[in-house]
Amino acid sequence: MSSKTPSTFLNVNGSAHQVQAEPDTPLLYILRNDLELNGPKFGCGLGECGACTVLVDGVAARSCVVPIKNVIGHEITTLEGLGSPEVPGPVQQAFIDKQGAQCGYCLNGMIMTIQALLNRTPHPTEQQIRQELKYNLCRCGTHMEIMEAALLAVERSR
Amino acid sequence: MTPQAAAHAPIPSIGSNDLAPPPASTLLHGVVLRPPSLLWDGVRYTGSIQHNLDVTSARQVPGVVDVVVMNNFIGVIASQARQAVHARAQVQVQWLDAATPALQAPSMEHTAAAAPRPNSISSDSHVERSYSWPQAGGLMQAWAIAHYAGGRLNIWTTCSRPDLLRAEIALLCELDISAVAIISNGQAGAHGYDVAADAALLSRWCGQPVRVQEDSSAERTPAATELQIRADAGLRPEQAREAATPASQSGNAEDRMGPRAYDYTVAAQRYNLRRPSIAALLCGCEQQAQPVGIALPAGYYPAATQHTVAPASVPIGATPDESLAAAQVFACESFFDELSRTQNSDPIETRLALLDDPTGQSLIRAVRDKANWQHRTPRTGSAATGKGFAYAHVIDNTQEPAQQVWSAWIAEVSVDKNSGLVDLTSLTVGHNAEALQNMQTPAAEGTERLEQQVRDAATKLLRGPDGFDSWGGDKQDTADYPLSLPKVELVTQGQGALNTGLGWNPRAELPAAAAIANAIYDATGVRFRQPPFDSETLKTKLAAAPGSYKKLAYTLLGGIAATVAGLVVSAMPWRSAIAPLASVDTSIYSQAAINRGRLVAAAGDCIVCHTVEGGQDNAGGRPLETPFGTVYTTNITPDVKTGIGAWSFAAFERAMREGIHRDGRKLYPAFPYTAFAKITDTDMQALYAYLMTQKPVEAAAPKTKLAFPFNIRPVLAGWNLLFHRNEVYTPDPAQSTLWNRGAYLVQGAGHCAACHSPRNALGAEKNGKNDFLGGGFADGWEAPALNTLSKAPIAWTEDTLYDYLRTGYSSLHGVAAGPMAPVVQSMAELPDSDVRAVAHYLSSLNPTVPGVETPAMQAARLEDNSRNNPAAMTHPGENLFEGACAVCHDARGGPPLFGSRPSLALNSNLHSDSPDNVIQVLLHGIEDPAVNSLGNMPGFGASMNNQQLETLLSYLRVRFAPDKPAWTDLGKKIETIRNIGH
Repeated sequence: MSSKTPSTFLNVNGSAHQVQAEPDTPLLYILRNDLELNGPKFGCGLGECGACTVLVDGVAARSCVVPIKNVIGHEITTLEGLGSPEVPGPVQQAFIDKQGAQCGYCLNGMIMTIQALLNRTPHPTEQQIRQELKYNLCRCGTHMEIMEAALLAVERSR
Repeated sequence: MTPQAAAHAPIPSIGSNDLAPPPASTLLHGVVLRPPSLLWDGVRYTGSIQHNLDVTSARQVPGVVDVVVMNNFIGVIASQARQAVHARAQVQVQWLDAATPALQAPSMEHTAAAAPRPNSISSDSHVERSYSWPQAGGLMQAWAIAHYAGGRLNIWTTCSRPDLLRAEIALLCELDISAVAIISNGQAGAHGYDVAADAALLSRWCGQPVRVQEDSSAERTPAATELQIRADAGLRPEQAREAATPASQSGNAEDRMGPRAYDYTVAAQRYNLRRPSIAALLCGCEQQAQPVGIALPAGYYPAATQHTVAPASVPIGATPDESLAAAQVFACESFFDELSRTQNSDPIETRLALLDDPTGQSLIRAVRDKANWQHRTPRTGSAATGKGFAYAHVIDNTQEPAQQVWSAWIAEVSVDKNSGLVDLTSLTVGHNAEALQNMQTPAAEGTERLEQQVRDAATKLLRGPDGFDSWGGDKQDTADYPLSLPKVELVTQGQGALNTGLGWNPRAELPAAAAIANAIYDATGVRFRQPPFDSETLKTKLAAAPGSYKKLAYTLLGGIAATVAGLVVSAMPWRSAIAPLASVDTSIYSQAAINRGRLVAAAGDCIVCHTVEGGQDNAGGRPLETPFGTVYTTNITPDVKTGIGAWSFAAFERAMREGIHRDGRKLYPAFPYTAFAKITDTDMQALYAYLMTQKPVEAAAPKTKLAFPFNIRPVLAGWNLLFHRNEVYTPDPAQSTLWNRGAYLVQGAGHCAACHSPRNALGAEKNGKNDFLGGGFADGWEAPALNTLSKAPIAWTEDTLYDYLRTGYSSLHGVAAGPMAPVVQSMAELPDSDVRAVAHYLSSLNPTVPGVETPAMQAARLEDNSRNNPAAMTHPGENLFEGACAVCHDARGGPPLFGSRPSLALNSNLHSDSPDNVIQVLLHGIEDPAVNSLGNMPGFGASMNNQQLETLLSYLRVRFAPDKPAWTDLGKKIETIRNIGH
């Protein structure tokens, strides 16, 4: 990487990371390629499918269309920031318990989006969950399991 | 720990979990909707009352957690601040003004203050005057975070009295005081009292951490930015007068002077020196605690306490305690001077006679002797110099323990009657503060520094010519006023005990304003009842004197001569070269001039056109597409070879005003010299100073090659003759300074019309009735009409224009994109007052007819229609929209995402006659928004073909602008715009 590439700090999962990249670089590329955080997936690249969802200041963001210059100084949380394989976060655990995955490609987005919903509405209704997940696409058809997992996560948060 | 001790406990170091504010990822954001008329009467809220409130559509905005309504307090909680602001705009509410006399009083006072009252006593028994004081807000927008959890409420904010805030919030949130903690957020120079109370209420409501930031636009109503103080005096009954005459009073003066000031009872209207938070007032909580702040002791103002006046309602402003005390001292001291002078009595002698306080008396005498004060008889206003006296005695309760401060000022001024310029020639300041060990300023201050402090306190009250070309805000930067620095004499008393040198308490500056106002009156007979004392007003008032018409005639003649000369010059096809300079001496330019030039350059967006993408600032080379060919911008850095380093000011000015290169060539009118000609001389000089002191960059710009006949530059001489008026902006005397300032910026440096006005076949701006800012095209984008031809579904107002220009986004219109984004970025350099002026002027071009529907109701109706439009649901574009756009722009629901989510139903571009801007955004997205936090939009040029784009565009038009005809020729337009820049 040339020395002319600007260097900047990103705050990811509670710690600061120095990255060298053009300010227009999509956040997803930095997360996956530079920081080796592979929870967020590359799907459509246009912010349409939701597989790349991360949290920026607790709000869902489609990281494939968010350039890093827009998130400098903000708190970024990826799937890895919600828990570890040993101790998964409550939403992650609910998805494991309900076997939410078929291929699993969309699950990062599903989990992060539910997390964002819980951040602002601790006790959402089923209707609110459906509304929230409306634009997260799943092509395997595990919608039933995903809804069950989301409801379980809400149930456990009470 | 007692409650008191808790509030004063030192803040533990960062890292302590209890005291670190909640992380940003868990924060919700709150905004509050304030009533249009915010008033209180010293005890309770008396402003507008909410009526017919409907928050349904506000609740539907994605990301909104709740809308909180408590009495007249309306707050919106959402996961992002922008969503909360958007939702607030959708709250439908009517505000009723209770028609009580108490409510009417302040507005009448307001108009009365604007029109000066006759300066005489109407009857011999009653005098009434009204004074106003401008209220400065905090230095920055204050913010607060409140977190209510587990029965405890923690608040992070900045305010001067956390103990009071704590008690008030406990009351407001119905909590025990021990459950409330106020923690400093480290934001210096902000007043976070009100936002803290707002945040506390909202967090208490939803049980999650809520952040509230002070809203700059909401509190900018004129009523809330100045404070009115009314003073009146009435003749006391004979009996009371005799009883009240001090025995020690020497009788000889009485016969000479007739009725004296103390024959009047004075009731300077008092307000509680501290008001509760706005949230508490709106919720209906009445003030419980004793007012604490800076108090005027009983007896400071003679006889004032003997007469009580029912408190009238006053506007609730963002008032720090200090300005309330300053306002009261200004009102009391000016009023005292007015009374004394109308009664032929010397203000100092009268004061000494009436004052019981020996400390004050001795201080006043010392100052009087030091300043060599002679008995002041009433002036006719013919003298050019004058002296004024003012005195203050306050109890400063903000100190621990409370501290008394006495201060007396004598100001001497000399006034230039032609220009109205006030020169402060001398200041004599006496100061006595007890309890020196508690003073904020170390006692060992040097005299020089104190003198400087006195000068600063005094000179900031004066204002030079505040015309349309004054660059507001940064007075320090551009100050060419006052003319000279005053001589300062200090008299300090009561400080001998410590023997550590001079001490100073900022409260000693309280009488400054009144002393200067009284001195100006002494010199001119003109009474200022509101600071700052500006030379323009003084000049206008003095101009009533005979002889002043000469200057006006001269100005008119000069203007005509300049016009004629301009025409003659423009008609000459060839112009001579102005000899290059080997080097320009830039050392003669002051930092103030360079700073001013920086603002002119920012207003003119020089850098936007004169910088090629990724290139060095102002080094030129950017291609501008015109209907006649591509024009490349030039290097305007002071490089001698390739830039303007060899240009004298004469050459620079000729280029700016007449469009002629230093070497005599005509410049193409893509360079908007037609607008720049309106820039005033001072600004032009400053701009030159700024550009010539920047870093030179050696970079030769590509040559511009246009097709015949436009490549023959002398042809342009004819163009200039036809279309160019080389005239500096002349203010419209019928309009306000703000309007003229806006017009000057828009028509001059800002050259808005260059893009936003239609052009004729020869590329000149048309000049028909509605042509000025009637909409144009630039760089493949439509620059929408800013006048009555505007196609915006909701009419632009001053406030929405201000929001749009300041933040790049208006929730009722959309974001600044395309070539407008860098304009907003460049304008970020300008002070708020200038952006406000531009918004004010532009909104005046677009007169709105007040309808039954408020903007919020319009917005809700438009969005509702777009949700339930049956024509859209069966349109073939629905699938495309659902797949590509809806995740961010769905008006029917969906998750709130990071960044702004402009409502398409309110978007001006979708309502425009031409689809160009929508096509631009769909193809290329918004990669470089005006402000990063607005978020990006990806371009769909690579993932959708022209047919799909056409279907989508037609769908967008049907769904979001159903009352507009379908766009035609979409295919061709898409093809053309796709190929621009490729």
